[in-house]
Amino acid sequence: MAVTELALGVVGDESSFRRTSQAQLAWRRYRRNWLPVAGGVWVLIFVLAGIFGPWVAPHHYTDTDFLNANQGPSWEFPMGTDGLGHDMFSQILWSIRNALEIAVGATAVSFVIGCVLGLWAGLRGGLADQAIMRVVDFMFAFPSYFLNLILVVTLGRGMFPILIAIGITGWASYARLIRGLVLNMRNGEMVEAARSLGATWPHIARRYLLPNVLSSMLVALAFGIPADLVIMAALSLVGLGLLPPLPSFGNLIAQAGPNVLGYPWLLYFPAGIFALTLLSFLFVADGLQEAFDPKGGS
Amino acid sequence: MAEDLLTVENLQTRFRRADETIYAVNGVSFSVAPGETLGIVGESGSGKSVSLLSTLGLVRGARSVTGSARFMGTELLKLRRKQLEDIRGRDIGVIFQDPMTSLNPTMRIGDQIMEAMITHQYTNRRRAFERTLELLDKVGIPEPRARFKSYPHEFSGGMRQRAMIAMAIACEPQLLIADEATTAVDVTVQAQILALLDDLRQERKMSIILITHDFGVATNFCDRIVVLYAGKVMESARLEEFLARPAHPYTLGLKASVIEVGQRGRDLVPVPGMATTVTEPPSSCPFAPRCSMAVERCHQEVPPLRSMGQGHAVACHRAEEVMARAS
Repeated sequence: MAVTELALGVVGDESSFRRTSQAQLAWRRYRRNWLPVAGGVWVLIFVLAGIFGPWVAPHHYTDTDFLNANQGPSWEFPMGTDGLGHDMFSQILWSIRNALEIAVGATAVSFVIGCVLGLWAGLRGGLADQAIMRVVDFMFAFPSYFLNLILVVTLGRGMFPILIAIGITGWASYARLIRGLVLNMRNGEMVEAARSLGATWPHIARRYLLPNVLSSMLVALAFGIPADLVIMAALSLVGLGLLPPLPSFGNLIAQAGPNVLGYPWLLYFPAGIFALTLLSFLFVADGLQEAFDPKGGS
Repeated sequence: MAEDLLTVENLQTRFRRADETIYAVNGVSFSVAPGETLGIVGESGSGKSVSLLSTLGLVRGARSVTGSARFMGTELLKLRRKQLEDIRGRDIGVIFQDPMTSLNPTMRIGDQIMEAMITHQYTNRRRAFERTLELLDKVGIPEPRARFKSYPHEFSGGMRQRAMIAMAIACEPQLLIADEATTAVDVTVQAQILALLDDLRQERKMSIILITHDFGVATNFCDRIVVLYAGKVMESARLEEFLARPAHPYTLGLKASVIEVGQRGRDLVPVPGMATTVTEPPSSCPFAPRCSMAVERCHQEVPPLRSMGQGHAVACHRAEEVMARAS
């Protein structure tokens, strides 16, 4: 055959190929805009405050100082004090920790349920798919905030009950997302090629499907955490949030409301920090979406 | 001739779409001898891929696959899923059309090649690593050690197809199925890939089934050719016989449609019409509506596949006339 000698040579001269990992490319695209970077910095501060807050806080969240009640911001109380003499700065630091624990925990619960059910529905198809997706439809159709309220009332107002109450109402969107992605890949050529090599379905799910949906999942998680923060605060506003004296943004904001004319700092600080945090998470999520977009260029 | 490696007999594959049944493969028979290259030629939708992939359990949503497909004495259609998984990748390797989408973008090239060997317990991890380097070298990928760690996006199309070949031959299969393996790559790369496959075949005494719509590729590369149309074998013969005495109007049409270099001015003679989806069992020659030689009989009777001697088989009522006209 005339072309045989071609096969013996190597393909072109590519001895000095450039190595750029997927992660490097993603990071390059992420930092193209300043908002995701700024949001990332704030989220990082928020997370660090959540982890180290209790050690940094000058007071415990139960400490009261009646002689210094309703003080404006000062060196001793950087964010002022409330009517019982709670140090707002410390209250906020503890709130950050509670907010993080519940939001991250609840998102993780939703995520795991959503992942398992979505993967199952997408891979198995047929009856399993139909059944799971109808439950998902139900979850979307049913006002989930109402479900949250019912669950909190039934389970109680501690950290863990609230975490669960938010977690098990939020999985439907993850399930729907993963199912769609898996369904798309299941009939794709990558899976066909893997199957032609004798790969089993569990193996394909683990090594082929999950890693390939990971970037989309990360974006969904970044959107999911602020959403859960909002639900948590919304529960406080109707009086079904974390049971005082456990501080939370929702509680702080709800308590500050009636006194906003006399002691505005009680509203401004927690509401400002909370709003900034939500915005930052959304900027980060947007940035991730951009970074992982396969059509994003470099 | 030695015992055939793969013998497919009267294979029928059906799909269900909405409320109609698609007759994708309607009684296809062919066989491959050890070390032989068989070309399966046909237009898109002629059932060429489906006929092979359905024997391997790789076609999803197939409503029924009947007939027989014996591979080294084993009836593939009767195997359980687990047994088929053992055969795929170990005894039968498959290369697909699009190397851009067939590799896992999250896995290193080397790991993907090793994976097949480890799945089939072909060898242990260390030996598999060494063998992967040898394979990368063999398929013509430079600097195997560095390239082992590359991800698919760092490879060009031709190199990805080479990596796919390395994966398919890792466990030294007796049969390699190349499903439009050179369709998505440049012509120069196509020549390289075909040459590589031919080398591998000679070196390992491996059989190759080349599924292609490219008549030119098939006639330059294969020992024997099967022409499929609407899920039926139209003609099958050894290459020399096939080129010298084509006996089916469709084959003539395919030949006239090949575009050769430097033949401007020569009239291209396209086959009129389009291949259609078959939604009911054939009751006439499926090619009759597009055939220039069709007579009344062609619209009423299914032409059986009859032997013309020397392993040459044709499904045409007027094969003798076609043959006379062609030569």
